[in-house]
Amino acid sequence: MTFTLSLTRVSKKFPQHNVDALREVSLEIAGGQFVALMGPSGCGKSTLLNLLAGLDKPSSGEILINSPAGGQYRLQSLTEAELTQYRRLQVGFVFQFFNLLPTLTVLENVMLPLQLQNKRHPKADPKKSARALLCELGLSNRVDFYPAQLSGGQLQRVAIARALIHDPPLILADEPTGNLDSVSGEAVLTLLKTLCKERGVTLVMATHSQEAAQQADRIIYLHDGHIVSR
Amino acid sequence: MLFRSFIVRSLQKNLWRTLLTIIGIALGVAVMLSIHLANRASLSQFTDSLDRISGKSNAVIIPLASDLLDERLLSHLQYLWAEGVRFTPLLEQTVLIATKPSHHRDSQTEVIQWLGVDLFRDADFRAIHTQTPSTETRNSETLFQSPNVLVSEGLAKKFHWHVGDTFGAQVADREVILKVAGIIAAKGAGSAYGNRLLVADISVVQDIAHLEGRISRIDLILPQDSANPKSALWQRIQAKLPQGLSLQVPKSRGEQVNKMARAFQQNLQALSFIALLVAMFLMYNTLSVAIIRRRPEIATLRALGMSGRQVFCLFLGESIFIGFLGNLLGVALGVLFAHLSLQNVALTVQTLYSGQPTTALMIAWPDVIIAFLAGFSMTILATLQPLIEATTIAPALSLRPESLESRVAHASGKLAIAGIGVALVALWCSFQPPFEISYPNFLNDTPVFGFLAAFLIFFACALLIPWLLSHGLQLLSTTRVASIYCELKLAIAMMRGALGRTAVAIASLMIGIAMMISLSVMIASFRQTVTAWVNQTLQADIFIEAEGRTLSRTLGGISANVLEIIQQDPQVMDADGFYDVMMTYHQAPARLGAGDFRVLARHGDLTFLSQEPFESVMKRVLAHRQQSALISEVFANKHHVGMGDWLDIPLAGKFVKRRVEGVYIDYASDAGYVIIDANAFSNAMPETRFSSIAVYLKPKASSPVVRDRLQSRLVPKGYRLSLRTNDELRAEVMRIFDATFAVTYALHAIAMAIAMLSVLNTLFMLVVAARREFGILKYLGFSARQIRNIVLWQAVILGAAGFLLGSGVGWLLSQLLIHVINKQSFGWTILPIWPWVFWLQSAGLILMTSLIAGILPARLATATLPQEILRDA
Repeated sequence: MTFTLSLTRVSKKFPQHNVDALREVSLEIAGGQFVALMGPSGCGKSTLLNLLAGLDKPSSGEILINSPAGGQYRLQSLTEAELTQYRRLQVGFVFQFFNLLPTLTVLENVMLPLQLQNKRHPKADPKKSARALLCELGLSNRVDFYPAQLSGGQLQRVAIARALIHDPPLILADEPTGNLDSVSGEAVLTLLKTLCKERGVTLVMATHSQEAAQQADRIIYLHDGHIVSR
Repeated sequence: MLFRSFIVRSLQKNLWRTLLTIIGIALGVAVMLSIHLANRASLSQFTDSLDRISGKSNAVIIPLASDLLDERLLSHLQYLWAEGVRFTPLLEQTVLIATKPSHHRDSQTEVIQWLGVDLFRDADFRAIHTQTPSTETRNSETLFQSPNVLVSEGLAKKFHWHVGDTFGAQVADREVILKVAGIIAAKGAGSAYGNRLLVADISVVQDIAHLEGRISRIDLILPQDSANPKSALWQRIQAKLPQGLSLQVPKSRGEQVNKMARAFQQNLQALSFIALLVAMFLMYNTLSVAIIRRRPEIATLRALGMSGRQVFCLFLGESIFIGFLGNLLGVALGVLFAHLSLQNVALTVQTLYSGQPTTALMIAWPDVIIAFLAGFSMTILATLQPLIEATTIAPALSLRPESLESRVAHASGKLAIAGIGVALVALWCSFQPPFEISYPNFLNDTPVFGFLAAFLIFFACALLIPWLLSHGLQLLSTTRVASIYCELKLAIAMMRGALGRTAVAIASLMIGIAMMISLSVMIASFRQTVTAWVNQTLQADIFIEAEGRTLSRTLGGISANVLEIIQQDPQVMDADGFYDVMMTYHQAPARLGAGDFRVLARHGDLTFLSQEPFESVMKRVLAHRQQSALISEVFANKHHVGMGDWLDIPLAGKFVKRRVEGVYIDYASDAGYVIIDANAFSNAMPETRFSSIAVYLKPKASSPVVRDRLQSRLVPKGYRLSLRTNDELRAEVMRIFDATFAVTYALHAIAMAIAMLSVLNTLFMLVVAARREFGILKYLGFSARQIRNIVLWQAVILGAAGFLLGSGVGWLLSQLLIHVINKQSFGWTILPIWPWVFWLQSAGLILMTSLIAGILPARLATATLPQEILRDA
């Protein structure tokens, strides 16, 4: 089975704010694709990412994930515990503000997703795997540093390592270059894209940056909760 | 406006935290105030009554030992009339009146003061007004007839007595019938002792109490210019008095009782301050966390042009707001608690010191206001450091919320060194003798350095905590458990990232637990020591006391006839009548006891400080029976006397010399005992009654059977005595012991409650501060259960760290209490033990309570919506 992701007539309403964040969005993403979500603020990019992450449930419609490792997930009908498992095994996140845990070292931050899976993950030694990945990302001399001791570019590389360490088939990235200067941003994005390609990981990235979006295989424009162009 | 939007809204938003802090402060202030009010009330009624009874007299002649003197002294004072001095005798007795017939289930005994006055002369001295005199009271002759008495209005109302009624009362060891000859109005001396007073002519009291020719004291009115101990007249009178009698100011008796009760009350008050100290930590914690959490906002305000002073005032406003409400609630609760603690405190003071019950709590409002102001100032003082911290941060620095925490982490080494320095000062203080100062008088001869050492130990440990915590958490994170449970590892990491606030929470918990452990060690050790002492020294098979003595050791007495009746019983081998009177030894209160040294040598068993066997000491004592004395350890400590020293003991108008043959360990009185042979005592003071009789039975005789038989012989003869077997008396001693310490258990329970509020508060703060981290963890696939577990692990670590540190500090404090504070306050040697069962129970309780305290913050953590937290990161 190959990885596929499909949304069918997915809507998301926030009745308390009287907002329709997504309106009947249908979308299919194949395994290994790099998809950029673009659009103005409030168009529904983050809502779509949250739905794909299983942090929110759609008000209507279906989100179906076929994963070679985990089978089929119908996100709208999963329980809270099942959604947690889904996030733990199938998804990696990269945030605009890195969101590393300030009280953990670089190594500990990266190991965390593997530790969560205990012995279910084939990488038996989380520390060794994390060190290897950090080395691959050029951070071998920063493993025992705390996040506060790193630069923005380094922080985002740690975040990418954390997103990839447990080999998820899907990476969700929310403005990964938004908090970086253009040089660092480009380097980080290239790294992210390369790593995802090498591992056959699907990458869905929300961004405002035209340059960043240009690197994607596919760009989807959202406006007022609708997909206006793909 | 800024205060409303920045402070009030924040307090509203964090309503639970605000309420917890207010409640914590309120409890701390309430405990301090309630103990102060109860302490004051337990003696104020007594001393106020003494003043009222003293009336216009400005001097008083009293015996230095015993509570009786020979009325023939009055004739020796006749020369004083020429000097313009008026004087009158007074005989004070205490009677017991049953509230209901004694067979009634709810029957209780009231302790009532009975004054015998010279009705001809007394009007000059005190105002005793009879209420609406009846025909009978107008006929003054009736007042000189036995058993006529005047009763106070309060008593008449309570017992529904009218003029002409008769009632039963117990005087010393006998039941007597008294007759109401008039009602005293509740004013002047009539309102003394809570309006529970009997007055009769002195001859009537002497007749009924079988104290012919005896009086308690002589009240004098000296010319105004001579009414001080330095005046020539005063010195002349004192010089002409027989030995063993003293001319004193009327207040001296109240001062003596105050002095005796002072150590007990001071220790209680010091304990109550601990609760306030814990509350101060809570307040410090609350405000420092509030400031840490709002550092970005403060930075923005600073960037917009707000000065450091304005930031200070803004948060000072929050501190004042919380402190004001907490203290207001605290004083209200304090007054309420005072009513509850009064019963306990007053009962102990009555039993051990004053002999008088306290019927009402007089709220001293100036004290309430002072407590409010003191508590308020201390809570504001507690927040001074975070307030200054808030003003001294540059805007750029304050945009990084972790900066203060990292500063604490970096400073932990320096703080630890400072802590060691403070601990050394505490060590020095613990070796200092009692404080000697003439003013303020209440501090003289008290273990001020001991209390200071206790405070410094707390302070030193609070300074050491960041370092200990940092290294302890580091160590814990390397353990195998932490590598297995990633929730534990995260909990540790988050706590290390919030070292400052975690250290403060642990410090407050540590103080609460240290107080609990130290008191438990002290009380358990004391209890064990007293139990061993009771088992060793209470050798008699039956103990006899007047019933009043079970209510207070100053009451009751047993006639010599009783001893004869007991000695006639065929199963009785020996019976020893023991005299026990108060005496003034070198201006300090002490107890003078007298028993038959031969009986003591045959049946007794005492432990001597010199470690000499009982038999060899008694052999020496019996060789010079009339010149020997045994003294208690307390007396030896207080008066700095020991083996071989000669004592001048005031005995019936003269001083007799006794050589100290042994210093024995004793816990019967914190005033200290001098024991002499009964023979000399009874010869010198034949009117003095026995305080107790120890009865030794022949082998195989049954104590309960003999007890019942003796009782059945004594009751028909009119004696009302308490006869207890050895087992019953031991149980009674331990009951009194437990009742004395009951209030301390309540105190440390409250301190613990405040400490747990601090834990709850800190866990809330840790969760609030870590909401972003919890959001990230949710993104990473942490389940709600795992996030809850992180908070619960934090709760367990807080509880465990607080408990371990508290146990260590508690042990140190207990040693200080046992070897320094107790020794200097009471003079007792206590053999320390560690109450393992209690300690293990406490460990379980603290961990369980910490876990429970973690439940609400854990819920808050699991309810975190990551998308909301991270959106605006």
